[in-house]
Amino acid sequence: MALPGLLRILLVPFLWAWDVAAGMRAVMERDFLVFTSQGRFLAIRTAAVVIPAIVVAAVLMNKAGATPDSIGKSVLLGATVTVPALVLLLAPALSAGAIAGERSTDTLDIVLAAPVRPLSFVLAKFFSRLLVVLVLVFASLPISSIALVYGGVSVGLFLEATALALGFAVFGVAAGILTSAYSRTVGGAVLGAYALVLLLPALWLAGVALVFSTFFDAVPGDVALSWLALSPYFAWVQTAGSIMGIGTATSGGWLQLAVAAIGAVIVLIVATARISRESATRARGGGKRRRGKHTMFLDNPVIDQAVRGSLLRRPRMPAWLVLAVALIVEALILWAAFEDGADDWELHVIALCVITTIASFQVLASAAGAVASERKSGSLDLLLATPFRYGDVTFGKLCGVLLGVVPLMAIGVIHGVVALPATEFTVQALCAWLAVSGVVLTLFAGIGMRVSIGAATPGRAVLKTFAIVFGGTVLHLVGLFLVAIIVGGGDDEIFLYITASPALLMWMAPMFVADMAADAGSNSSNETVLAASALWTVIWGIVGGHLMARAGRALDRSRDDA
Amino acid sequence: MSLAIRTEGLTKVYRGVTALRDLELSIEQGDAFGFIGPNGAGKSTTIKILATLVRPSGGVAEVCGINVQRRPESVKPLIGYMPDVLGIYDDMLVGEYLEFFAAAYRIRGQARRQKIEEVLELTDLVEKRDAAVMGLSRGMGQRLGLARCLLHDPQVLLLDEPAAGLDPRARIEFKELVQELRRMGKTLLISSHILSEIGEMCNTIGIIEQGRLLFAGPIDEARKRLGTERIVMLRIVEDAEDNRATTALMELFRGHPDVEAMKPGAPGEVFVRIRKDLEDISFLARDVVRDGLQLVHMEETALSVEDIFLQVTKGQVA
Repeated sequence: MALPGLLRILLVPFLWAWDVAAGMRAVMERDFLVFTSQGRFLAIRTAAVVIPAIVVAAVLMNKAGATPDSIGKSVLLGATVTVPALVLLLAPALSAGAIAGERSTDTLDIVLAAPVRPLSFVLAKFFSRLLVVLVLVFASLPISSIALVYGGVSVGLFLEATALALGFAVFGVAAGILTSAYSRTVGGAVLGAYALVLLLPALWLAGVALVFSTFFDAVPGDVALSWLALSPYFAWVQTAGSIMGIGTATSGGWLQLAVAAIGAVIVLIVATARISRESATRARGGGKRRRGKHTMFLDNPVIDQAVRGSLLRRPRMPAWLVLAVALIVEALILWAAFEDGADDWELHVIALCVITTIASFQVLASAAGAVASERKSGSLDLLLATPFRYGDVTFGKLCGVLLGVVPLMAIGVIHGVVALPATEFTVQALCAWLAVSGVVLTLFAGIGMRVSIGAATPGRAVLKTFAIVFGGTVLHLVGLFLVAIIVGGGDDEIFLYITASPALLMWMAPMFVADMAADAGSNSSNETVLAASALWTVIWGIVGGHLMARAGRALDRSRDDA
Repeated sequence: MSLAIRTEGLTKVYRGVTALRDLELSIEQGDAFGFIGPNGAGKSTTIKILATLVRPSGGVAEVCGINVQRRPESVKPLIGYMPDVLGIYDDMLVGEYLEFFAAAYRIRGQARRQKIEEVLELTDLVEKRDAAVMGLSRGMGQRLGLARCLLHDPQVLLLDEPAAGLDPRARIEFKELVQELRRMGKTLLISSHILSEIGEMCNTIGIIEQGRLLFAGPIDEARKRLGTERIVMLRIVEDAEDNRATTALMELFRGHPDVEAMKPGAPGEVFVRIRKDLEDISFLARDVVRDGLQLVHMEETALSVEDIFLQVTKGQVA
């Protein structure tokens, strides 16, 4: 009798694993096969091949006549810069809808009611999306392996560069799954995933650098470097340096893959715990019940609805997260600035531009979901059947979206005012930052709103809006890269071109104004850039205003296809 | 009596697909109009056009004499629109939801609070004021939808599939609510698949199929027009296992000049088809009693809305 009992105990882990795998299979098959059969997958896969191919082709054109070793290094460098960037851009968007999408369409209940363990569900979601991203990474391998044909790079370094891309894929998908497990909407999950992917490594870099520089001056440089190498961004730069023969021979690609894998395991545990809790809460029929007197924001229901969830009105988790990130960035930069004893303006402008970047994420996500989420829940028709005109609705929503970032911008203003007397940071720079930020945020709100009006679901609206703004910026940079390589041109021309992108303009314009004001003088180059920035600020202001003004008409036109 | 809703040649084409074709509709004030038809027939499109949410491709739609297309802002205060989905905002309580729409209808201050109280009482939702909208049952949700429609005291209510998904108790309660609204003098346009309830809630009906209106008018008129035969059900006491009494009853009217056909039903039941033009049918009861059979029940069966719908959608009415 003892033997069967012992056998049973020994078999338990295998039976459990079998059960988990069986649960995974159904969800994974559905997710992976459905996604890969869609037209957008073909488009993304094509982009994953075409964009690195364009970069590599540009490198080959530029390197005509160079030694094979030099060409090989440049090709691998081009691929190493492009592929992880594409992965960082795509992975959060592809994975963030995995669980939040099921929640928003009420299919999560159905899945959780089936005999599928939360762990199976989360694992299936993770691996199905990771597989999609891996297909994209592997699709670009033939392009980057051209480097091996030319030589100049070892197979080991090539594999390290590939491991870096794989690490980015695991990191991006894990971030998407984590925010997806906590977010009620796909839009919120996408926003959170991008915030994690873009800001977490930067915060790590800033934080580690600050801690080591402040407290651990005696710590050997290697130790500090090891800590810094845990950030994907550092490893990215390190890999690029290794390819070009700068820095260490090892690039940290494998380390990144290992760190991302450990992070993914933690994420999977946290996400599983969250889904298990959710499943238990639903089984109990739980739900929050609030009491209290209701007050309406500005006594306007449209604005009231639009600012809900932001810091101004019943803040939800994403709003608190955004505030926390902004305050951490502020604290780190202020600390660094005053610890260093420097009175330079750079750190303060960077802090303000980080605030604008965070605010622009929030504006894009909120504006993109503004109309689409109402359409999905069926409340849009109810609102449009009231005496509100179409223009009233879109204007109210846009006001709400922009009001939602006022607390963030206020943090920036306070920072600027505090920095004014103590540093070279000037009133002109603060005003330039406010003006350009206002214009860019208005433009982004207008773009998000127009996409939202035509979108069937908020998830699609958010993805499309981010694709337009960030995809446009990436294409702009690729174009800039090609122009610089093929046509050439001086700094003036390059800066003129850079400021045409709203996402870059919101960083460049305050920088130049602050630089000029601090130098208390100007040269022709600065004047050209300033004029270009002013011109593009006016142009984007007009475009943003036009988008906002015509949003009501666009919503009215949507009645034809309602 | 003036018209609450009128459409003339109303047409809607979605990307080459005709959803509505030359719809001619006249609904008088105070009527409860049941709009019935299969899925995709054009009911919701008609309602959305009247609610100013969809732009028609052609024709005219009027609510209380106001052109919906030309003056949508004047039409909106006159209508209460309830779609087939509740249309919720998450993270809102019932009281907040009503306050939101009361503000949208520009009801302010004390009047807003008073109006919300009134509609909560009318729809029996006072106890649910602090409940989350997302957590409401389907029946409660429909009541909330109706409460929202009534906030601005509209003259015309456009209810799209209001009884869909309701349990029997909720249906009865909803029916009573509709009757109360009729007593208040509201004009109702109700689209529904539950035809038996349309018969109980409405006095006029419209039958639509593939975008074409096949019939519109009072239910009684439909019965008259479509009732090609008159059937009387007779029920007698049947004791014998061999249905002796029922057989005797059928024998009694066999060959009768006013009886066209007969069909036995359950034991003791016979359906007698009589001449359509017959005014007096009392001879049936008289003859049964005279023959010594024990008559329990006699009733002329009327065409149900289902029968009317099936006949009309078969193309029997041009």
